[in-house]
Amino acid sequence: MNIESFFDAQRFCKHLKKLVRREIMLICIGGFVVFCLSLASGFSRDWRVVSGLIFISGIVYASFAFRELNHSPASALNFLMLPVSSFEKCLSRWIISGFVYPAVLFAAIAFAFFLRESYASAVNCMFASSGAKDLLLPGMSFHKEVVSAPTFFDLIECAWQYSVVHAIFFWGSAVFRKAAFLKTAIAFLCGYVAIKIIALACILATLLLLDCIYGDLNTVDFWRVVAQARTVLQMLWPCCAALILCISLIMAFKKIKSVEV
Amino acid sequence: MIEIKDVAFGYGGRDLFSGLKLTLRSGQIYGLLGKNAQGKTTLLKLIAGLRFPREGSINVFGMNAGDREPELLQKIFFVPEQIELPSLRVGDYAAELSDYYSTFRLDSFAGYIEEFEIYESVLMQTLSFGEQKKVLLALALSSGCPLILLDEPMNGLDVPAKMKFRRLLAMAATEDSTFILSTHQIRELEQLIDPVIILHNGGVLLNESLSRIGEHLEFGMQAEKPSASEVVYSELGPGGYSVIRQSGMACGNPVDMELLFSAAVNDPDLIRAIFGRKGGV
Repeated sequence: MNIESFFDAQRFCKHLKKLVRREIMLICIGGFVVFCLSLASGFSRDWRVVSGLIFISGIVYASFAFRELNHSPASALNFLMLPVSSFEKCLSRWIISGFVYPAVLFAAIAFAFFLRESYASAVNCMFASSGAKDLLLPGMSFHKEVVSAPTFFDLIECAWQYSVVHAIFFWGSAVFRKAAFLKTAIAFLCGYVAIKIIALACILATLLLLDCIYGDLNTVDFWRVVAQARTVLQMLWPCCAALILCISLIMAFKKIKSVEV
Repeated sequence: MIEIKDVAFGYGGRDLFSGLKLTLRSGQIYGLLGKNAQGKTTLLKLIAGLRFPREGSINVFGMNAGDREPELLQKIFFVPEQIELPSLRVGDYAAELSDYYSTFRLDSFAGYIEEFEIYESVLMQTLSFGEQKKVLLALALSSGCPLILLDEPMNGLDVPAKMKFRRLLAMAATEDSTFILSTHQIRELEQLIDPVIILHNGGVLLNESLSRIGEHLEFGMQAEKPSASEVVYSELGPGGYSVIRQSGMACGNPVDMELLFSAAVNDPDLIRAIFGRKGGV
């Protein structure tokens, strides 16, 4: 297989454009819903709620990334017979669900925030000029500053965590034929619990090892070992997350390449 | 063009093909016949790379079908029996496909669609199954793909559409294009099909051109019941007995494909012996 069979930039761009055109309605509906919600409730003032909403909405959308494969054999056949490489099919869907969709949601929320604040400022000015400073419209606040603002590190961490969880749900979309979101969520939870148990087992094994070395378990400070293990795990987390991200994407690609209709 | 070598395939624990060998040349309209569950659709899917053989290899245009390389996918258009089209307008979908298939001819598509009395501005989801099938057949014929796989293409089409499809297919067939038609409705396509492939018991029972079939077999009618020893196969019909006799030379009688199929599945060993095929494949 030559490199052009695997990836051709021109072919990929053409495919991505067409896919965006097909998905635009769904993306716009998602954007419109969060726009309305943000406008009505003003949640856009708290970045944690905003990021949480984008996070959840993004992974739900990612769970439907390969919905053609799961909808019916005929739609799966259309998907597989499209003269685009499996890698390009995967990459285009990953870009749309991982970047385009969250970006549209973010833009919708930002626009709602801007509208809301502009309106609030205008009304505030109007009331201020008329001398009615303390008059508030029902459900509308007039604080110019946001409730909480993220630091740069917060944003990076949030984006990083989203990338990892998104990749897992993206993989789930390729693997599970029905109820991909639910099944992936359960698998994710099971995996998380399994990792916790393994980590605990490792700590216990370490304690037992120390016990063997020192001959007396009481001499070992259990919580100190746990704290040290947690520090080690926190240090290892970026590497583990990167590994999970890569494995998820590679497995999704391999699944798409090997899927049969 | 298509080289199938020693392919084994099955679903679950049930073997469908074992040691399947088949070579298909370009510029033909192959008719793929077989009883139910003999693997006609599966064979088309194997050729398209939608299924992977357990053993053996399938090479299409010199590429492994299972790799699903874009270069190969550009050369294959598959019309399945059960179809599902995206919620786009007919013209928009054709325009979209024309970007994927470099050989796609939009002007031809417009002509075919007009022939089938379907408007390009119509949303495909609002079309009936038969109309959707017409759109897909028009797309297949105008794709310019050198290999077009049609699984039960006549299903869902009305009588005038069947006639039009036969005419359009005959017009679209060139030396560079190959069609493989899987069908149970042999009578409706027998004027087009040549050669004939009959699948039976996990292998190819027959893969012969009509001229070679005509060289070996003679098709006719007779009033009295023939004795089993003097005919390959006989069947009582409204006008008497339809019979197949072995002949040593081309007799010029048209091949009755339905009768041939019945004869083949009735006595596969005899057909194998006549056409010199090894048992099973």
